[in-house]
Amino acid sequence: MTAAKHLENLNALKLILDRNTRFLSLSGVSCILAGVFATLGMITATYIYGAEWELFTSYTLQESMEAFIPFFVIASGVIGLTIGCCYYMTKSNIRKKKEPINKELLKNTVINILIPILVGGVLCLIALWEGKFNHLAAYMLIFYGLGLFSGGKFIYNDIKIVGLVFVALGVVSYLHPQWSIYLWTIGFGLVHIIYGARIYTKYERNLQA
Amino acid sequence: MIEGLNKAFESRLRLGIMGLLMVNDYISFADMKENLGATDGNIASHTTALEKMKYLAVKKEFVNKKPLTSYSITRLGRQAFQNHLMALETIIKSAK
Repeated sequence: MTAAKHLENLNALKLILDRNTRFLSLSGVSCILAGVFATLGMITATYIYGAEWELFTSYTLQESMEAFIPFFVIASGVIGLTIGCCYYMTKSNIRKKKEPINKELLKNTVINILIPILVGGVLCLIALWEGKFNHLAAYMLIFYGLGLFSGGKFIYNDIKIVGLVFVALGVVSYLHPQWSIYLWTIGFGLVHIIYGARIYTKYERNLQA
Repeated sequence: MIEGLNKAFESRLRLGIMGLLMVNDYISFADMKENLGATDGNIASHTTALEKMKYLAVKKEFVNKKPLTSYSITRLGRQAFQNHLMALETIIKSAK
């Protein structure tokens, strides 16, 4: 066999390995939409609870479940729409690529992202229950960021950096709870939109053609 | 003529099989077939040959009453494949 033939074989091998170690079909458009839904959710909640969310902090979850109904409705709406969009648009990307996906890899990716997020979710519920509202946004930002960081190694490497940005925003929000609302919106809204646009222009646009 | 190249990994399909095994703890026959776009017979004969050389291990089990064959790489296989890749790298570098 000649060197050229070896090289050709190695390139074919590289393609197979890429497909099996990374999950490269994440939809950038769905990421942009996630940012839009988060921002709309924040605007709606602020409309209901007041500019500084002052109505939000008047009860703990323990004292009055009803006071938090709008919060949970908005939150589940945002999360539901985001997961739904991400699922369908990513699925359609996979179909466009016509490549087999590694189910084991997909499972690993989802588990790596979800575990930190679920831990954060439990902490948030405890904080609501006890009325410790100060650090709510910080918990969301930090644990979501850790989820992206741990899942990022199976997706695009820059997702790890985005994860760290979320963690940093979370830490600032922990130190300065009065900025929480803005930091949360910058993170879940703006960062998602910027990053989604980047995925779209960098990896996804040529798929549509 | 060239040192370090392993005859066992000469075909492209075997290169693909070993590559898949390097990055997956286990991979089923069906997933391997889908990934490499090869026929049943081709995969079967190459995996059998690689198994004989003890480069891969076969696990057969029943999942929902259906037989499921999956493969994993052995330590010997990993070592041999790494040596082969290093040898390939040397050849390609010297050809440039």
